[in-house]
Amino acid sequence: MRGFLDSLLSLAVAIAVGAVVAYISGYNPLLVYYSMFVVPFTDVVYVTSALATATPIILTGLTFALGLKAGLFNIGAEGQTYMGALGAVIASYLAASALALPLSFVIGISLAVAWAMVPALLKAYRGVNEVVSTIMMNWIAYWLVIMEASTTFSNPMQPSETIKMPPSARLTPLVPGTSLTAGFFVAVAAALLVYWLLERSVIGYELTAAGLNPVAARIAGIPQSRVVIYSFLLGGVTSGVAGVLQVAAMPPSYSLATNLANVYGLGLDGITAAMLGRGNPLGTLLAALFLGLMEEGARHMQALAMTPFEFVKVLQGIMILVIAVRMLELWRRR
Amino acid sequence: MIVLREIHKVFPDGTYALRGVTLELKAGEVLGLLGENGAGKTTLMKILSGIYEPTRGAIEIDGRPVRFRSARDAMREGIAMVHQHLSLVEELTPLENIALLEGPSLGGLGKLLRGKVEAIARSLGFEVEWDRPVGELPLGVRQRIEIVKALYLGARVLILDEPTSLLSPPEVKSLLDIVKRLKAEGRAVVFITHKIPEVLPVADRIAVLRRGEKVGEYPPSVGPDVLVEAMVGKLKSWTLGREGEPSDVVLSVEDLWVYDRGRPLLQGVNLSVRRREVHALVGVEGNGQEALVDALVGLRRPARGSIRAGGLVAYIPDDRHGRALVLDLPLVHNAVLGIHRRFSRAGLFDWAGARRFAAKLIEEFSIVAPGPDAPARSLSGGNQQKLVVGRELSKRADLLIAHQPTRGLDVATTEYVHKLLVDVRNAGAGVLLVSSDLDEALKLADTVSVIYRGRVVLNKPAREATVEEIGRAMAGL
Amino acid sequence: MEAALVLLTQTIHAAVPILLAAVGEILTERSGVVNIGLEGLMLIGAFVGVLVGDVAGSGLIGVAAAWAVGLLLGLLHGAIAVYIRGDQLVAGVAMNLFGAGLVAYGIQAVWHVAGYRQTPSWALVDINAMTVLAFAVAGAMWYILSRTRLGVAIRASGEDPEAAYSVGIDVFKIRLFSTAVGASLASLGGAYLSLAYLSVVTKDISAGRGFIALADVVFANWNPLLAIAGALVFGFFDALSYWLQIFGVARYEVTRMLPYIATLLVVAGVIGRAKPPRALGKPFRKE
Repeated sequence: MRGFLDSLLSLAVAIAVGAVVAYISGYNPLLVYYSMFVVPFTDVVYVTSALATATPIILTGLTFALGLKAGLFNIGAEGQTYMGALGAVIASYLAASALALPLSFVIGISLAVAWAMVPALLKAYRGVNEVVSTIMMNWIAYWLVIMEASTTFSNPMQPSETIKMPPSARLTPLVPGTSLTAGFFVAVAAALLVYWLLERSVIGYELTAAGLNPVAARIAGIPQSRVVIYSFLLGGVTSGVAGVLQVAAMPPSYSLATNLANVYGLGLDGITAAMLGRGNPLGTLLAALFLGLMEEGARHMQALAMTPFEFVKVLQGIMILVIAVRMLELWRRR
Repeated sequence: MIVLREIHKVFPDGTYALRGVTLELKAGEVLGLLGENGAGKTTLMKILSGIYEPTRGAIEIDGRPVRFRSARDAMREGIAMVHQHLSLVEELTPLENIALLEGPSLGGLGKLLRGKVEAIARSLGFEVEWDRPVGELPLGVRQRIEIVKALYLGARVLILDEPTSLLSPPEVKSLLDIVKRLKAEGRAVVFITHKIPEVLPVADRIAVLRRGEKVGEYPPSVGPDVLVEAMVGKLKSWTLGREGEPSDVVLSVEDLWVYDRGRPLLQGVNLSVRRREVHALVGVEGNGQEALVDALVGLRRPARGSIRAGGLVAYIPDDRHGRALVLDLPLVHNAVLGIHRRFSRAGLFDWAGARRFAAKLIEEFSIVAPGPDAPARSLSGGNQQKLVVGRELSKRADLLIAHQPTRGLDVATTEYVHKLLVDVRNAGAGVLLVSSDLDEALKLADTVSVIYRGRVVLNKPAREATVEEIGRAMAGL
Repeated sequence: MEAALVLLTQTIHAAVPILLAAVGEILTERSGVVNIGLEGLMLIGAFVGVLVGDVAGSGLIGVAAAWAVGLLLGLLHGAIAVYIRGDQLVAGVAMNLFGAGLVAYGIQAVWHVAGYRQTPSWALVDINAMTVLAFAVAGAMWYILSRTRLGVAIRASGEDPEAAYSVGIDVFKIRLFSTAVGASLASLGGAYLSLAYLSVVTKDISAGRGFIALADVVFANWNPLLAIAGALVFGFFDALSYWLQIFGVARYEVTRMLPYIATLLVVAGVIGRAKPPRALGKPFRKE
């Protein structure tokens, strides 16, 4: 509850500061916020689009939340999402039938998990700071996937994309004319599953205890290596799924842009969601839905208020800064 | 002359630490301040040295009322306190530590400073390696640096808080010599302790505190018996009935070497613990006990040697907050920490079983807590320790490692924990008791070992060992 | 021979932004505060440098403005870490998110272009002068930290703030000051990128250098002089990647991975002997 109030407060502060930023840059703050927060609700297409936008953010948010729970700063969702998407593209290349869909998940998740395991093992056995190693893995993934997308798997018809998912393997919109696919429900189910795992499983107990007191956990027979590996492993799975869905459930192109436009920045959005959601999987789910709404709103803002889309990122940065301040606590201390 | 008049102190958590204590200090006099842990000695002196402000009461210097808002204020009146946990930065050299007193500036450390501190040290009759990191110096030397620090600032009143607790017997002797020199220079010294024999030879006057009140003031000539009774009143004590003799070995440590960044902490330790045995490992703190315990519980990797533990190991650490509890989690989570795999049902947690277990611990060890869902943080220190002890004992382990298991506990809880340790022994387990409290060790032990600079220098049955012999071994003689 | 000299020069030039950010972070961390927001600070420094340099018609003013903005943001981070005792890692991540958002937004809002703005010629500054400055800053930082009373106070605040406070060091002020100056150096590194080294500002101009600087801090064991060595190693791979590309040894994308792979390997190799300040990242509160 307190966490929720904190998040609301951070939103209020961000909106206030954002209004000043918008005003200074010559935009009408009222129009900006109207188009961002009201317009998305005026049409069912917009709402479903917001849910579709939220889908990968839920999943990458879970990656970061799983890290936080175990006391780790896993910034690697970005690169793991690229690898997941690459997996879907490879599957499309290998199979021209409906088989490409399950194959996408197998290859995509495997690649993402492999990508997560490098920093996990470095942390577990060499004590390498995971913030640095995950960022390095992100950049390596960035250039690797760009290279693969524009060479082996490029689409001869459309040079700005990779080859497409075979039509029978696509997750198409549930309601024609919208962008809402089964992918959204996969993401929601993942959040519920992660929540349940953390609360009810032994490994969830171990992650929680180790996250709060790693030394006591080690003495209690919970080695740091196990905690790091499980946390990164599960995180790799959810990010991998995010990457797969960004190809397999992404109408109309069902492919990966060679500049990675449909996967770029999702890892950072996930960090924002997990922080707004206080590292709780259900909180992360809610926060991701809200971010999806904001980003859908930002598209309308771009059209109606002529404000650059990135304005929404400024707002999100301010929100997290306020979260860091833990403003409510400051208040209470007076 | 300094007078503390009718000092009361109530802490924000409601603890009533001092209930109207009045005390006088005179120049050229050593005042012994005696009392049990928690009697209020340190609190009273922290008020005198400006660290705490009194809830009620006044401080007068030469009849003039003063008010201290910080340690700096007290320092300006020439009052300095040498804390039990020394306030030196271990990564800095002694000289750098003293340079800190001059405040930050772009200036260098300066030759003047060095000359001054060397002169002070000489006047007290000792020398210090000024350019080695403090962390590499023995505790006795660090304490001297603290005293130099206080004199560097011009202290006329020196408060020494439990100054002997970290020292070996010869170091204690040279500390007492320093105290006599300070007195001869006309300074006032307050010597806080709960050990009567230490204060008798050096004090001019002894004030005894109990539960926040001054019981009385005595000349040293009254002798120890009067002082003991003043300190503790009437003591209820458990009889520690031992049953059976030590049998087969449950822990065997052979030629154990542990290094920390190239510095040897353990240099070939040999040790064994048998069933039905309390094996007390004593030593002045910082002689490798921590490294040994860390190696035994798997927190440190030995460079050489072997550890063979037969069966299940239980561990009561010295630092329960850091090592035994997850304070942010509820009591029930903490009650099963380390045995949580016993509550696994195909990978899922049996929370109902865990709660029943926690409720049982609460009852069996009379832990005062609202219930299994109370955050561990909300329990008092004594109840946290009972939770830890209860949890570890309920493991029914073959070996129990107890590291300073009664540190910071009140008398009644201490007795209770002592009884539990002997019960564990009688039930057939081996107990390794690592303690720097010689009294505790001798009260409980079947076997005593002394560790000094990473080596076990003495090992014999407790009933054959004398206090003098152990004291000499602790000092490396 | 000449080629080797060019490679050396490029190595040194590529090392500068990492060196500045790393030396700044060493100061910050020696005082006991962690700031993982270096990446965001570099981005903002790069952007502010071009923006102000362009308007003022002087690269030097741009550099000064970037430095000052970094100082202000450092004060913000310091205040969060020191006085409010907020979560330092969260605040650092927030700085990275905020920087990424602000710069991407700012480039569009100011110049109405998508994510890419050439630095105007009048806003450029001499790369050699800034390089010398960066190395001088590293040397001066080493001297201050190891040889002056200020340095003793900073180290004491990072190792044992209780002890430092007990002898009258204002740990709060020391940490705030160190964090602000540390952040200003990262921002300066960003200005170097846009005003001297790359002559352009893009929304991801820092390209992970802020995090490479974090790695350099560990590599250097919190010693500014060793940070020079670390920055040169990373600079070498940065420079090498362009060369391999020019000579067609490997594909462009492969060579661009080199500095990141090198960083991973170096960090994996040196950890263990590194010894961070004891109170690093732990908020200090009075008894």
